[in-house]
Amino acid sequence: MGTCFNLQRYSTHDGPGIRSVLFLKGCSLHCHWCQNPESQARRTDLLYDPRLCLAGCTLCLQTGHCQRQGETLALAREQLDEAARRQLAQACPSGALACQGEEWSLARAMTALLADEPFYRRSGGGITLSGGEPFLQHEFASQLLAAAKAQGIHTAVESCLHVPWSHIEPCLPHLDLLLADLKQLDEAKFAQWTGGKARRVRDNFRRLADQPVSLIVRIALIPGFNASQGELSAMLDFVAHETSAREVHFLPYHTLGMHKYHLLGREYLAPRQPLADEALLDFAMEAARERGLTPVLRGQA
Amino acid sequence: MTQLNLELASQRIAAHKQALITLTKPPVCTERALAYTRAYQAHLDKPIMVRRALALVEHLKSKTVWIKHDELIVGNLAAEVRAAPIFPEYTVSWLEQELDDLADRPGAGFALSEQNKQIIRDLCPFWHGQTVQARCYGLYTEEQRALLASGIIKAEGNMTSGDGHLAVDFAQLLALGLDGLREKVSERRSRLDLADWADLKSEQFLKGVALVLEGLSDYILRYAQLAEQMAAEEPRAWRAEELHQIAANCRHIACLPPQSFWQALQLCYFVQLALQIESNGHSVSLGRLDQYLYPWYRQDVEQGDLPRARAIELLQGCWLKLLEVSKIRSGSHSKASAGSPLYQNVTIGGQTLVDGVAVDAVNGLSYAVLESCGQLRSTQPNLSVRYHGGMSDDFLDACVQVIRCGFGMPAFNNDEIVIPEFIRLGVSRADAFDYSAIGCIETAVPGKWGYRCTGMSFINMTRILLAALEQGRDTTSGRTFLPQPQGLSLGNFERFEQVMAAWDRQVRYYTRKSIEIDCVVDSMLEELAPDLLCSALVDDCIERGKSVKEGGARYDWVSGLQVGIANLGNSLAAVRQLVFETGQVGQPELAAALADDFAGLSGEQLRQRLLKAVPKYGNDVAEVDALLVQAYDSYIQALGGFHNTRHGRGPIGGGYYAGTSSISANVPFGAATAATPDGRHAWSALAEGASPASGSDTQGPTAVFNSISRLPTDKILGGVLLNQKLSPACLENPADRRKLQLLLRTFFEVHKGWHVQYNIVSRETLLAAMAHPDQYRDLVVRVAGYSAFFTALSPEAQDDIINRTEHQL
Repeated sequence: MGTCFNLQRYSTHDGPGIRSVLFLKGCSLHCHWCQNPESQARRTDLLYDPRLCLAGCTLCLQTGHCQRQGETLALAREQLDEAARRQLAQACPSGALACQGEEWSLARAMTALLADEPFYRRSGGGITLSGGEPFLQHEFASQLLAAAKAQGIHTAVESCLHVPWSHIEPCLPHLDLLLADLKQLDEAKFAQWTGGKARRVRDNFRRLADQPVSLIVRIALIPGFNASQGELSAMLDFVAHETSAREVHFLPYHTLGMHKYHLLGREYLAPRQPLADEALLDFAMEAARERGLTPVLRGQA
Repeated sequence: MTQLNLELASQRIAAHKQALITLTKPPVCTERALAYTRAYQAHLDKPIMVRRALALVEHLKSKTVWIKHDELIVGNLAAEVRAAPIFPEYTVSWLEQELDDLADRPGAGFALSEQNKQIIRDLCPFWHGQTVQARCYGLYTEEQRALLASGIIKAEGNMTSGDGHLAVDFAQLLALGLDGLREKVSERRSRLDLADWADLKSEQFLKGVALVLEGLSDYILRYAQLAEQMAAEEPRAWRAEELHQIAANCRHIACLPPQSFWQALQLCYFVQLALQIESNGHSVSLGRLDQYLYPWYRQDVEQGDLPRARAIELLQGCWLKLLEVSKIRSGSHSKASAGSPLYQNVTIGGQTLVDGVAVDAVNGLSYAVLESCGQLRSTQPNLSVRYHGGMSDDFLDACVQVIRCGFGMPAFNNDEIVIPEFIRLGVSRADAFDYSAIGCIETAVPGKWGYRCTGMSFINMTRILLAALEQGRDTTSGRTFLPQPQGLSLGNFERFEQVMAAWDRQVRYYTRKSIEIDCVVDSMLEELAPDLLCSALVDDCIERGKSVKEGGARYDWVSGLQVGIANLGNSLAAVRQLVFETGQVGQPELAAALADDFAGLSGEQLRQRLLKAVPKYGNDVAEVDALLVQAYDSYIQALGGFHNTRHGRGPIGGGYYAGTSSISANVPFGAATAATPDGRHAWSALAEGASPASGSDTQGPTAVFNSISRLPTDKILGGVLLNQKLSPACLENPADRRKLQLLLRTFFEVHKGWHVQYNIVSRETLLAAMAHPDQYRDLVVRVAGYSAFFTALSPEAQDDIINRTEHQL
């Protein structure tokens, strides 16, 4: 069993060809700019969208797990257990209250992933595990990858590599492509913005250098965090000299996930404006080329 | 990869297009009505075949001819640009009733002078009681009349517009020329025995054909004369030279097979035009134009000295002449065909047989047609590409480049399903490989297939379902056509299977009634409005001495159109899950909510559950899709037992199959349909074609493809219509375009999909166009199986398009 929160079909920017991406829930980081904040906790999240509330509807109040607060609802999320969260979501007819995160069996996940098999085969695509951090659920992940490989389907994982090597290693024999994030080399900044350790990521990159898996490094360019020429140069040096990756994807910061923080009742700590620095993108592309890397903007190869 | 040039280069074409699209209220022309009335009155003694031929000849002889916009392809439907003629022999009743309101119809307004109104009022009395529509009503049973009045079955288009929906044999026309066709007719007449009853009938038909062919040649010569006159007065030397050439072209093709690409295209246009003067039917299509015109294109462009850009300009000139063809429909019928389209389809690509071996048919002209349409971005022709597994990546990429222009074309039909299914039906292999799209998405063999491979009666599947759920009572009209003991309000369905049984019984009843109605309409069209020119160009009409409607065509299958497919499946799924499986909703509770359109808080709570808690068709949920298939199959099975009026009279076939290319009928049909158990509000639009209900397909295009491929496509040969909307950002870079191509290839090769077409216009653009129509007169969108100018649509049809789910890649 694994905890999943979404399956995205006809995904075209998460590996070659046409793919389905299964999002596993739970992450060892909590990056301020994370565009899937509902992916971070392993437990079920309760999302609340007051715009979908029906005027006068009291079905959720009748569960006793929330109170009205003016035009909206007061939700003490910390005090709600799994059963209460589910009860609230089930009581709500309009989807204003919804749960994210479900336990999926291997069979269920494989059925969902194989639904688009003909498209993978015709396009050279396959499946991608994303998250959250898929390696945190390494047993489920390796089973899924092995099952897909057994069917001759291309496999990919999107990871922040902020996990013990022992979580990654068992997956590698079944993995064709690893899309790994490189966020920041500076420990203090890394800790401040993500709550994790940069060294752990660097170590895993170095270990991967000896592995046969294809590696693509993804760099999300976050204003105030790493979107400077100096930090980019340092990261590209690292990629060129200490990893096996020859392709690097630049993902300019966007704010499309901002509203999800409201739905989760969380504060948004990252910049409120998307990255609009064409010069920096040009610099990044050029700097990668100078180091013998193939740069791709927005993961569209 | 070939990069198409998609910038419109010709100033003359740009100015011509501008003149046409800014004409938002086209005029009505009375010339045809006057000529036909005159001729019918003068020739009442003649058999209908001859009377009708003489009426067409009289009109072609007396109608205004003009050459405008510095055009290279000439011919005009009516006295003024984009004017709509009147076809009084089909109907005058709606016209008399709506005469004063024509200017104010949203999205379908026409300008009509007081003088022309009076002319129409004066000529109507002659036609009373002898129009196709009047005679149909004279023949209907009371029950049939009541069904038509209820709107559950709709046959108005068939009664008031004639047939259309076919492509004639342009290849034969070009090979023989009009003289050659005349000889063919004379030779056949020479073998008739006038002492034989059947031959006497055939003689009237062939005499009519001969008259019409002569009338057409004379008509073409009128343009030769006009062009010469205009050349004499033309101050610009280059234009005078063009006019001389136009005159020479017309003189030549009035009798002989064409010698140049220009002449060949001009002859095809004259025939295409005359077919639409002869009959009020729409979806008169041009068939595989890139195949039958290619010999001239190769001779002039690839081997000769006609510049390719000039050939493209000629094609675009022809496309604008197609756009000039304008017809007027009743207010209610206009709603079902939003944007007043004529659905003149051009098909390119596909395969052709060389010594019995199928090879890719794409040629230089295929690319030129694609490019000409991509540059022009008009609604006509309705451009279809025949997909097949062996299509080159280069041509498919060229198609996607044009799709990216955002005017909804080309649409794809799929050789991988159409050809084998046609062969299975009994179409010869050679003919099956030569099929083309007709009108929207339907398919037939050009020049060999009778009318209306789709487009017979429309049936509102959702209203039948509502009747099946409620004692057989139609909620909208309050009438019970086929009573049944069970009803939700009585709470006496014991199991869900009883719901399905009630549906099965109801839909079989309505299916039979729709065929009965078709039978009436077909017999009246045969008796009152035979098409001579059209029949002359459909095999084997001349040899059999029969019009198409009498059984002259080699093949003759038809289909009606079933509206509300997705709503049917979604509603049944909701009833099964919430009423019978979980028991969350009681039968009377659902009945009450449907009756008052989910009024009040509890109604809305229930509606939200129906919408959100039950999976919908289009999301690759096998159980829901299977339920739709089961329900649709009741209709398909019932349909299989019926024949059309040509059965046993000559054609191979003579039967029916299902079809979903229901144009924009989902909007007016929805406007007459009460609330449905899928959570759809009363009177709002139904789902269009076989596409998922608007906004309900949340799992992306592959899930939609998986769902739609569960439908029995092999039995829905009238077309499985799928519209998808992509945001423009999806096609910006080559890698994404490549993935879209692979998506399409998989759908067509593995899923054996019937058809798909794309709308690539952002929601923001559509909203802006609604707010500022004058700035968006050229914005073309895909409606159903066709494209229309967005600002020419009614607000309801505009909303329907905006609300379709936009897939992100």
